Amino acid sequence: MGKTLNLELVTPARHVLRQAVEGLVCPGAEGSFGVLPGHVPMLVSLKPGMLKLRTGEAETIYALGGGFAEIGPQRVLILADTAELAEDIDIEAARREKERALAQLKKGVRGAEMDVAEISLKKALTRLSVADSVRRRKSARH
Amino acid sequence: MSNIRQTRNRIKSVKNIQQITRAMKMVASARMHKAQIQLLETRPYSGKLREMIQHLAGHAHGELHPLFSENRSPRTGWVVLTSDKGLCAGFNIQTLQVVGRRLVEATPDQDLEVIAVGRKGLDFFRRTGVKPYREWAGFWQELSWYHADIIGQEIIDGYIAGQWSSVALVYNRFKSALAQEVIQESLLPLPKPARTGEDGNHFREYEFEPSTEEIYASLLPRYVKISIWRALLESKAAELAARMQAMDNATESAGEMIDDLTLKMNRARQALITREISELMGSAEAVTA
Repeated sequence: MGKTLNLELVTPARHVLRQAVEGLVCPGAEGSFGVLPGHVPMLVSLKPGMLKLRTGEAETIYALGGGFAEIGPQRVLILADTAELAEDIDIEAARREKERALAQLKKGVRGAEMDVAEISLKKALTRLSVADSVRRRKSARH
Repeated sequence: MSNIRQTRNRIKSVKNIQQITRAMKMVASARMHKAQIQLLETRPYSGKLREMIQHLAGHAHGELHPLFSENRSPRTGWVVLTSDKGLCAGFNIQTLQVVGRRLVEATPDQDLEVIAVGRKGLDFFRRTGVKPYREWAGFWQELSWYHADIIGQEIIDGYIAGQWSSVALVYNRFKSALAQEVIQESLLPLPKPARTGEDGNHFREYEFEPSTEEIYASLLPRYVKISIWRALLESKAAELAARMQAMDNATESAGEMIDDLTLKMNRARQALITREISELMGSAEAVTA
């Protein structure tokens, strides 16, 4: 059995990544879980959260905006709504997004509008927390 | 004299128009390239999503999801995509002609209900007295996944509530920078997945998290939305291609017009000079005589 997984990460906006990785951590709808080569075949729905990819010593982190993952022993396909490399996150924009969603929720919107606001709030919070954890790790290293 | 001045003014105004059409052509061309890239980037996602649904199909138990099954409504739903702005030749007219023909044929038990997207379509339906089920306009400039999400959700809700027996998308497909084509594409019900055997990437014993039903319930609407998203991008790229062509033709016609007018002006001026010289010669002769 191979020592790596072929990972593909795709969003509606673009094909983000096709790469061999040694392991990854997915933000599953019922909790984060790790995947190593030889994993049981699975179809999992993902919630907005942090996707960690490990290749040797290097670790790459993406902020995912929810989606699905299809996992096989040697390949992982992730269909995400959005995916941003942690280093590329625009913290200011995420903060503004968070404020806007909060304001919407405070106004007491209902039904579909409330769902939209809640989802965008969750996405913004994910972006912020992912960006934050990456920054902290960097400063710990220095 | 006034004839020459008039012609000169006309040349000037045609030149101004030509400058504008040329600029519009350049803008449309740049935007079209961007839209084209976006369109190509979205293809892998819809392909992979379809693959995932196929893999899931072999494992679904019991009732199929309502998005797979036809219902008995006498109405068909057509999602009609048009642009917000004009100056793009036959782009909207061709689409609306297709819709108009079908509307004429509609009968109570084979009715057509329109879901209008784009200002031009809205205007057309208002003029012809057709009341769309829903309408959206004025977003093409800042088109995003969000729009596909909203439109898709409305259509899914309507379909599940039994509003239409089937739903199709009618839009201009982007064939190339030089050609668009009005097409009519079935959206709902979703094609029933074939229960395929095991291929290289397909495993018999899948685990699902949360349940199969829940994954279906969120995968299928997403597939509908991505189909709408792709159609929106196709239409946007096609609109810009049509506008680019229309503006190119306009620029060319303006050029021909300028040539014609310049020739006319030069002739008039030459005639004036000839007349003045002969008058001068005539009076000079009269003086010396």
